[in-house]
Amino acid sequence: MRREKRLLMIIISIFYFVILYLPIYWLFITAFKKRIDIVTTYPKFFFRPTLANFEWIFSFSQVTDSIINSIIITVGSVVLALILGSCAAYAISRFRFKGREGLRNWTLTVRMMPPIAVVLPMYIIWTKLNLYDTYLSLIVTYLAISLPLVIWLMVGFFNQIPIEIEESAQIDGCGVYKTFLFITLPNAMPGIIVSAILSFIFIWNDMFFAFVLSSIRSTFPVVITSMATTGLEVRWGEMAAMGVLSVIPSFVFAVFARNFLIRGFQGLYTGK
Amino acid sequence: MKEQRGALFLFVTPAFLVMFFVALTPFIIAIFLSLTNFNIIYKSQLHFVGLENYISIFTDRRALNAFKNTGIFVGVGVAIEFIIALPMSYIFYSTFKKKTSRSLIMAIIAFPMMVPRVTSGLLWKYMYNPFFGLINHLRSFIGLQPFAFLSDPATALISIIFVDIWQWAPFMILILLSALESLPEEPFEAATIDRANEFQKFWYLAVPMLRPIFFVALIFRMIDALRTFDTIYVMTSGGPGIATETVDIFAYLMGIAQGGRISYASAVSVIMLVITVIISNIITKYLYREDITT
Repeated sequence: MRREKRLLMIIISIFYFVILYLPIYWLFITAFKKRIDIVTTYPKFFFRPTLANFEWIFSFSQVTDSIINSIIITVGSVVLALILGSCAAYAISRFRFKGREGLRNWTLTVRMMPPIAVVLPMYIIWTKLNLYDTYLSLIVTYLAISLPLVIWLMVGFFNQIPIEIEESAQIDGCGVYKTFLFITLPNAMPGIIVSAILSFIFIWNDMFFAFVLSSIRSTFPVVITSMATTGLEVRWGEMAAMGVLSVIPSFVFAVFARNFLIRGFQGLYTGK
Repeated sequence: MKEQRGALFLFVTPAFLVMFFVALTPFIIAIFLSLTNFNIIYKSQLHFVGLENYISIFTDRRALNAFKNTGIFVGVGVAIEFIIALPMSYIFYSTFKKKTSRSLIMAIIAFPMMVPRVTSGLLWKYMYNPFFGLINHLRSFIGLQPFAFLSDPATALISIIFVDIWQWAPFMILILLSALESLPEEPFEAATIDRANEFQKFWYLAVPMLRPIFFVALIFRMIDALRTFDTIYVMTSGGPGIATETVDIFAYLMGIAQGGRISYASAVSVIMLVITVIISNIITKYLYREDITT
């Protein structure tokens, strides 16, 4: 009886995974299909794979440029967010000062702000500062958006490190900065990896801010959008090829760093 | 102690300065703009118009339609995600007990929500295609005629909601599954000894014990769903007509793409902001019932 029940549960789980992954599977095989295998009356599961779609998208400098832009902007803002964020989180976690809880609270509010409410004024600000469509403006924008996430996660991680380690370091003559750099940070390494992965995915995936705040230095999702929404017909094979490229980072994280990833989601939504 | 003071200042200031200038200042500017007649295309004398923009929202049927669509998108989508996620998370919990298989399952569930919204939106647009989309292929197997889901105002919004469910029900499953993991095992073992079946354990044990986390999962998901822009933009850009125009799409079209009426768009987004702040206040209050230092 128990065994049959378990089997039923496993069947339900597999059914759910099929629904979840059928579209993703379809995306992957479409990326390797010729046009004639895509526009068919019946779905084609067997076909001769081709790299023509990838060749086509890489023949556009717009696409290759936007991938490079995406990498620069994402890495730039993630690194800055980690540095500024872990310092702020350390202070919130360790120092007793007035308005400490308010600060962490406020951080969460910034994370929840609706992008549409800030993006129009941002557009005006960056234009007025003559920084519209530069790496700097996009990096700073994404930095501000991912900071709350990093602070929120890192406070949780710092809180779990026993304060005794630091106290003994201080008795041995370490100052505040040395303790932070050489004792606490190495112990919080998992937290830093988690924060890095989550903010990387968030910035890499985002289209909205770059969509409004850039034109030439736009990121990969923006270029995907503009190539898909302009012109009379959508070239689905080529779009699928870009889609496959866009999920590579997430895929790598899901395969090689899944425990960090899951730890991150938990930390993000339970505050621990 | 003096060194700590300096360190505190040095540690906290940069991060909060950035957040203040890049995230908070635009808020204030948005509120200011919403009270003026600022237009980025027709540059006229900038002057205050009071609450005129806000008042005109309530007589603008297109704006009201956008709020209605957002309400349907968030309400229906999040409710269905929750209804799917609650039993599914328990099924995963009771079926995959080993630590290694659990973490593998979690990664499998988590991957779809890490697909960029642009990509998932386009992917589903392709799948909904009436001529060669996979969904219409599958429909033809059971003898149904092809149907252009995204071109019919009656089905466009619900089709987009389905994409949201596909991508974000895993989020709820993940939250509920990790909450289930943190529950004590003894009640479940005791129930097994008392010959409770799986459904009874789910309904009389798991659901009541999970109740506190329901709230967190629902509200986080609602706040995220409220600002869905990318998916809708790549799938329909608000069309056909205004059938899938949510508040974010509407404000974007008004402020940047079509009218340049930045002040009007700002008024719309300030209302959106107020709604989000109310929801996020509920959540912070809720989260802070527990001690933050734990």
